[in-house]
Amino acid sequence: MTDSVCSALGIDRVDMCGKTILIEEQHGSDANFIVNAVVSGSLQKSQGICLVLFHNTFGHYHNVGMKLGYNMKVLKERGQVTVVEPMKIAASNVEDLGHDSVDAANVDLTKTDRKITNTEDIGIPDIMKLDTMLVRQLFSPVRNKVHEMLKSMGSVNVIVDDLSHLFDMSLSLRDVWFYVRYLRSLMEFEPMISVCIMTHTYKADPDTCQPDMIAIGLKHMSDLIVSVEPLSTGHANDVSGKINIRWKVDEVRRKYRWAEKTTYLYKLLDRQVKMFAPGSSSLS
Amino acid sequence: MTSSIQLAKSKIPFVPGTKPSIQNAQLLVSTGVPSLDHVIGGGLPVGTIILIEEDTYGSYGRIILKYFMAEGVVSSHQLLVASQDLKPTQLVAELPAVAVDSITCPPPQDEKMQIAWRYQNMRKIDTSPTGGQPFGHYYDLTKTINKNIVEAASIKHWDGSDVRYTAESFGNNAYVDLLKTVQESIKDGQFSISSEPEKRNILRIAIHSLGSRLWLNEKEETMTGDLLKFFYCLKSLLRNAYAVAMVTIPAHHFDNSDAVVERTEHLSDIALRLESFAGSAKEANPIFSDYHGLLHIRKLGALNSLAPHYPESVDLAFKLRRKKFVVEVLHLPPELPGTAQREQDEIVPLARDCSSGARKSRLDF
Repeated sequence: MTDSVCSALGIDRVDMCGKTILIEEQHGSDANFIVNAVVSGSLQKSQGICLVLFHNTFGHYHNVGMKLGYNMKVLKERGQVTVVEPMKIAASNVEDLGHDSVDAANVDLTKTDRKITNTEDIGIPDIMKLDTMLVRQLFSPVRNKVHEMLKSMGSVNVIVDDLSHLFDMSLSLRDVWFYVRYLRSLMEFEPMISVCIMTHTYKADPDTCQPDMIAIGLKHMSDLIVSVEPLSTGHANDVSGKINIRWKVDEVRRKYRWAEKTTYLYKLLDRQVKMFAPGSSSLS
Repeated sequence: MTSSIQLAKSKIPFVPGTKPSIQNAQLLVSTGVPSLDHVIGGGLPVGTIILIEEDTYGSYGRIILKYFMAEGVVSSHQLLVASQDLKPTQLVAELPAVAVDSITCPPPQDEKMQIAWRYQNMRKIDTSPTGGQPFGHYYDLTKTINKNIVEAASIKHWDGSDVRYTAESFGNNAYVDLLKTVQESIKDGQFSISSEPEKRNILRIAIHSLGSRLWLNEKEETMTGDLLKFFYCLKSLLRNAYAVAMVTIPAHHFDNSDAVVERTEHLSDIALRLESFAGSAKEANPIFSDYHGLLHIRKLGALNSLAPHYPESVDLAFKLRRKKFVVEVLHLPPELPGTAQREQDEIVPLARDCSSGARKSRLDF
């Protein structure tokens, strides 16, 4: 059902291990279907998947998966899919808000004690605090889960659903770039990992809009760039938007004789995605 | 909320004032404006945020928020009203009463049109089950809701006067306190999906003019950061609860150089922008004479599905009647002999002069 997307991206043929996919979702479009295509593509290759969910819930992916023909909950129990949900951390941080202040008011010593332990094992992220460790705290569960999965799975695909939400947790550009660098170095150490990063961009001034700024850096380092744009002419009944696909690896392009940049139009349907080359009615 | 779908299927928790969506089995609640429900795909999915970008003077944004609150009171949902610009008690006191003559929104299916039978299938009637309960009401803006009903309803107010909680990473602790209030309301009312109350209910959160001048921080740099972080935390709280939030923001007040309005749109699930004609050049334009403003759909999120709902038309306008706030597809007014406002009408007599028409001219040989 997402085969047309996978074949258009070329991820069904190319070995993605050690490669990075960037999905750029321009404001006004919904690139979630590409993430789902990457998920189902990895499942077909029987790769492990580590979902890092900042934007959608796991329930969303399960429900979409049921429509596309796989059961994420069962796969999660089997260990083929693991989930890191920083959204849940944000919710629990709000819940812990009152308790923390009570702790600090009562005994000051315990607080200092806790800080010492924090430096040893990084601790649980708390986005309500100004903590320079926050990026590491957010990343370490990802690394742990990937290492755990690699024991049983041959290769793991790390999928980050919306990196731009890190900015909404008031992380600086430097911190977010650190997150990306952690992902990259993880990939350097473990050759059987591939990374897929989705990020949202706004077409604002990149000097002031941080999500746009990071997208420039990400485009520089990724091997496959998929940018999903809304139609510049507005709403159409037959077309949902436009996809630009750019492969930056020369060997891959030469092998399959792909152009450097290909453009498709797509239409989202309830259970599938239709892809067209501009001008034709369906992708052959 | 998304993970509660399975729960919803197995148990079907009956909550007054809700209905399951036909597309993805998501539980929906009404915005209080039936025609708006129709446009956004049946209603508001439980566990989501709807963002209303206010019009220039904020009056229509406030009316929509009042409808949302009134619908909550009528369907006996719990309500949390937050505002720094207005007194929440005043907002609640001004809620409109249900219009007596029209209780349910969709007309019964067997009602046949007498005239223009060809058009009887024009409007799609939502056939999703509502459990015999009315879904969405019309409200009479001339009457305020009965005080006894308001007192009987469980309504929580938040006006930011008493900030109890603080957090380092927020510049303005009003945001922190409101977040904590939301979280406490979810916990105390057992709205979380993990809790199992005897009777399921819905929490409606109405936040008026978030990020307005009254939410100013001491430092200007932290302002957008606080707003975005608040949205992110609110979203993560709501995703695991039987709660819906309607947030209005004065988008035109923001310095949008870093795309903060778009970023809040991205953080909410449904985003609508109201553009009122009041005070603009469009007020005098004959094309818009039937309407009070335009409704721009900025975002309709896809929850639990690949494709988001898309309305038949995106050229939408709204008009405010005494008993109805109506959102409809923008139509040009019909051109009748009496309507002479258009430019081409004035050209016609000129054209007649040159031909050998009714009036003879000296130049016409």
